[in-house]
Amino acid sequence: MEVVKIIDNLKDLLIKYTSNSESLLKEDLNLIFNRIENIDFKEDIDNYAEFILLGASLFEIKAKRLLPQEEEIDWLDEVELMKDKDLAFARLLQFKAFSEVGIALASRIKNNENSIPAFKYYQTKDLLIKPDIEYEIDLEQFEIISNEVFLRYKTFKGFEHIDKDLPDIQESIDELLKVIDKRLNTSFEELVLGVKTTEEAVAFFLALLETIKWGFIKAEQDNIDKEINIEKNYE
Amino acid sequence: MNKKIITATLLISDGPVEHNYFIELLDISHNDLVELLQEINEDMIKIELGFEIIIDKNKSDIRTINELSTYLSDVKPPSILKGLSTPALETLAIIAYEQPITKLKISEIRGVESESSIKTLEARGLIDKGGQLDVPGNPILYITTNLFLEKTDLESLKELPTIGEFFSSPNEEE
Repeated sequence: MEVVKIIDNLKDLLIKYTSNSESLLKEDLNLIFNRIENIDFKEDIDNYAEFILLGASLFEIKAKRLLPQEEEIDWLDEVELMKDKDLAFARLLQFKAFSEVGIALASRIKNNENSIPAFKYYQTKDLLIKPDIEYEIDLEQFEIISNEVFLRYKTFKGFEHIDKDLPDIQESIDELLKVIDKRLNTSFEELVLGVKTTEEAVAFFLALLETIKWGFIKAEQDNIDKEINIEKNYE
Repeated sequence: MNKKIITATLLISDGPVEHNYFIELLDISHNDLVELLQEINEDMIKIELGFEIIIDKNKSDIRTINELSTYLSDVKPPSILKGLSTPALETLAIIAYEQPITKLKISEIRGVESESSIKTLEARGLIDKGGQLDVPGNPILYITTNLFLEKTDLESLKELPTIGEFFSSPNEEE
């Protein structure tokens, strides 16, 4: 029955603190938690669950009180935060539901595949990935394009420009992340100071784009003439 | 003669055949057609053939009988599910319920990029491009195909079970 008593105490505490009492939460909490240290909760799972919930609520209150209290909290901000939490939770639930539906669909398809239909052409015609844009040309357009291509080909001096030993983007990404980790704040111009060739600078720029895409770093450029400022993304 | 025409048509047709097609072709009533289809099934059972006609409300298809499934494992075409990952299945479920839907919206629901899942599903013929959204950039809208309906044994998308009355895309408030 000791457990029930503790839970009652916790409930009292919760009421006391939610009604803005100035008692010392820390001391009261310590007292209660010292008392329950030697209690075996295995006997009653419901009480245990209730204890966890009450304890967590009290800790939340305590944690909030540790935050600076001078600034007034804008209740509109609090509401916005709750909305964000709500949206995140709804999305999580939605995603979970679709995951389960996906598995259910797979199981339905699997069962249905126990019987096989006669060969149907449309089952194979889509096996090749379709292009996003289908470009239709007639003979005349084809001639114009091919003439242009052959004309361009004649201006080629050889294939040396293709056969260059180009820098590896992955290596540039690793290098970039290493630098950002060390310097925290830097600029793209600063990063490419040390490179020797244009190709290396291009590789660095591509690496920058990739790392921004992955969310590792943030980059900002106020104006086309200004530097590209780079910083580590802590979000 | 009608039975011969029906079985041959079902065998070579590109998917299940609408009943209206037979009704017009053979100049018979719907009831007569269904009776004929059932008779063909009985005939096939009698001479122990390995097919049957699956008769739906509006269409029919000729298929192997379920109990042969294990004997056909070496010769049957590979399952459409082969190599389909869980993310691809998630994407399929999202498209099935939220179609027509853009790639961006799918990625938003899943919280990750969905390009490769979409390409895989498209290559399998389970989804297709179904137009473009009339907004800047004209993103492509994706929809499920007839093959999806056939593979999931659904007559139409309306038969998809409701996930929940209040379950719809949670949209951020403007």
